[in-house]
Amino acid sequence: MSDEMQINGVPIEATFAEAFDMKATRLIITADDSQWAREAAKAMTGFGTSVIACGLEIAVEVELSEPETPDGRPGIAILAFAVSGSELEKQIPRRAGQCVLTCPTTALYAGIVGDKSMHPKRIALGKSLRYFGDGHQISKRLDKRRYWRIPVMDGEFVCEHDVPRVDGIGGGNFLLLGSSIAAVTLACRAAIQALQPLPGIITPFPGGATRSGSKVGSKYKALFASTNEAFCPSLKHVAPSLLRDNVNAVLEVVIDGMDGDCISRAMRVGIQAACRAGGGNGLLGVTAGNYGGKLGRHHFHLAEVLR
Amino acid sequence: MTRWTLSLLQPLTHDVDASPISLESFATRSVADIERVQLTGMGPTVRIGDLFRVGRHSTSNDSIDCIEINGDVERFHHLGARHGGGRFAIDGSAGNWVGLGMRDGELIVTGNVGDGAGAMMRGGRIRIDANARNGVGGPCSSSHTGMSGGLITVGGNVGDYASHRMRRGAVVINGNAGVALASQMIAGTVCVSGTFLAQAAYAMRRGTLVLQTHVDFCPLRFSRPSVLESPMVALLRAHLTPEITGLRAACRLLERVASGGLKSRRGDFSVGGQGEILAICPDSN
Repeated sequence: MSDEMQINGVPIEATFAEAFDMKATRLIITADDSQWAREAAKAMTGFGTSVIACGLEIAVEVELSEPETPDGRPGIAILAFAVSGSELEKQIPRRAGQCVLTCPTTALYAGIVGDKSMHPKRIALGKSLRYFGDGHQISKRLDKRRYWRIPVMDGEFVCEHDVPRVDGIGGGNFLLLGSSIAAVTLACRAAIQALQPLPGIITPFPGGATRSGSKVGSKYKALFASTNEAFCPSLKHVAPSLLRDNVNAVLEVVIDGMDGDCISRAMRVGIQAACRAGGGNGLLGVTAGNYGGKLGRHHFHLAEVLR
Repeated sequence: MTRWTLSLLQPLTHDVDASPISLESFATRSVADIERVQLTGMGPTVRIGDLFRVGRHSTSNDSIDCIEINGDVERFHHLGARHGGGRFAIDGSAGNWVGLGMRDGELIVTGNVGDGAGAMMRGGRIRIDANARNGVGGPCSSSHTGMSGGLITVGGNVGDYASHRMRRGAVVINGNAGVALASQMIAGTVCVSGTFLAQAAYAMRRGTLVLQTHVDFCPLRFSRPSVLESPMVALLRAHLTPEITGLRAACRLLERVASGGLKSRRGDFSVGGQGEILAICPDSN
């Protein structure tokens, strides 16, 4: 135990987070003011915690100031991840149509720059939403970007024709092991706060963390994921457990990122922040979730990301 | 990269087709070969070497190849035709069909140009510092469509039929325009900061025409002006910034349009058009 890695007195287990290839995209929502932009983003990212049942994992990446957006208005960047390109292509137009088109003053743009020659895989935005204009929609092409202007009751909804679909990584993670729920909550919130300014990643679960870490499969045939009993404190003496006796609560921070570097950086920043806040305050360890390395080809070893 | 300089030795007294003067045709030739290139036209055939002092300079300062023509070459037509990249600069005035069918790169004329500048252009940028005659960004001969991409900026005035049958891209005019501005326009963007004559936007199908003020368009052909608040205007302004166009008056117009008080007309209904005319209405200032 003497050569075990520690941060602020918190032991870091010698294990790795196992992550998977996903399909990703980035969208920018703008509006006349940041309140409308946030409302649209909130609606768009609702029910987007896990691909297990939500279709995609989607969350706000970062709030953008006026100079950072295409039309010079306040904006919000959103990242979305799905297990397949077709699922992403199905989910994004639906959410855009019901959550952004409907929200006053908003406009929707591609958050990944590059035309078809650079990113041949595309997800329809205005390409499909334009039909809401019932023939009154107008297309506008500026440089190599094509926009649709759809008449709506507050003026017009401006929407980019499509957005590139790129490769991403989902399932980067770390688990915070604590003596109590209060202790892991404190550490978890510190980690999430530290992750918020980082570009290229999202933590799609509520408040950035999940308590229902899952394993693959179930005793019930209909389920392909079920509770990860090895990390459930109440099952410490019932089922095979990976928890020490003094661990009474675990929270998992799940990170989806545009590439491996984004996830590595986020894991490092998040774990360090959690340990700073939780060390001496009931945070008893940090570990990571994996499936023995058999399912995902991206392995983020805690010792390496924290180096 | 390579910089070709052609300094005019004597003015030409008849018109010639100058399309052989191009970066693509010069690329594989020596100075002596280029001097032997013949230009044909409405008079005796002439050689480039008879008219210009030709220079070839290899330079590491420039990141692109360029041709520089020094002198007024109004009798030289089709300069920069099908220009596909690099820089083509004319320090003086040029003839007709400058940048005809241009595909990419930059073409700069510090003086005036004749008819058909940027006709059927597909990409790149043409900068005309003075005036352009008729048919800027329009079609050529029997073609159905005018320019289909790129940007044309004119520091002075343009003649008739500017942006006629234009299909895509942008034309920004710092001065005034003649008759039939943006007539039969199919799409794209035209911005005129000065005045314009009759038949503007005639048979316009789609696209955007940005003007200083709304004039009395026929109510059967165009809608009444209505207030437009749209982020599209900001996108337009961001697309045509002073850094991009270099035209102060035109950019001031876009700035005013983007800052509000904007009204929009739709038409030309006589051809089922959904074109758009944007202008600041006096009563909304």
